[in-house]
Amino acid sequence: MPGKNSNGILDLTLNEEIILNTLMFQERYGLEIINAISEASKGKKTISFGSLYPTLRKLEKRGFVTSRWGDETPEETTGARRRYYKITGNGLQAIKQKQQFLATLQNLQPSW
Amino acid sequence: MITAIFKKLLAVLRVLKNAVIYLTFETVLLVILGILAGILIQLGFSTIIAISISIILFVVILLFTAIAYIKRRKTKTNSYLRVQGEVKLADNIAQILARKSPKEWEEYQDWLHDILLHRSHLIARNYPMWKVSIITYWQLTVFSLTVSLIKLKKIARAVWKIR
Repeated sequence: MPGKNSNGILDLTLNEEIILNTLMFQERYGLEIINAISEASKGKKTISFGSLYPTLRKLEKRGFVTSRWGDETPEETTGARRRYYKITGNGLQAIKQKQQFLATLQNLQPSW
Repeated sequence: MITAIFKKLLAVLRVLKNAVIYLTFETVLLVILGILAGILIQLGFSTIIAISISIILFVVILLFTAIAYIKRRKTKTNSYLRVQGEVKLADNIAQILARKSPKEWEEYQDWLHDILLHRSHLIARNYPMWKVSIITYWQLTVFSLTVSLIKLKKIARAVWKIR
């Protein structure tokens, strides 16, 4: 599901940045993202369902993430399906630019 | 004698639990109502229109909740089904969403899928059943409210464009 690119590529919130980093090397589904964040931070950083999915939709609209439906059988009671998310080239670029910006900022010598 | 007291205590706790869930739900709804009115006023709607739209939407959400609750209550005839209550509620939400708002269902069904998956993970980790129920009910409430708000925002934007 490709979307439009954002003008403010550096305008990534902390949650958006964390989610993009979680998807850096492999596609994951929602609960897997939540668990990965919790595990990597040893429980110090958690992200709720309520903020994960709207953020994923925003990232998808900005073209930083794509998704596909999982091949697993749908949930037996509700028929809901699992969805896997994957970072795009734009998403990778956004992360790189953010990291470069922060590195430059850290090493910036005052010119005044 | 002790068993009777214990049973009564359990019944009181069950009522208290329902009361707390209901009050939390009502508070969240009222806060959302205020936020929604604020957003609509920011969008340029007059205060009366903004408050009217918020109140109508509030009543619609309450009706949906009441219908889902009544449907769930009808099925609560034995203890087995009582344990399955939140799954039944999830099923009702899924049916309402798929029927009334297929676009939002298509967009957010993986969220519902993961709520139920999380529930089964908690059960597998031997979490107490009452804790699992509260967590799942809370997650389903957040899911319903968020998806309703997203739908309402879309409607408000469409109305704004028409104006």
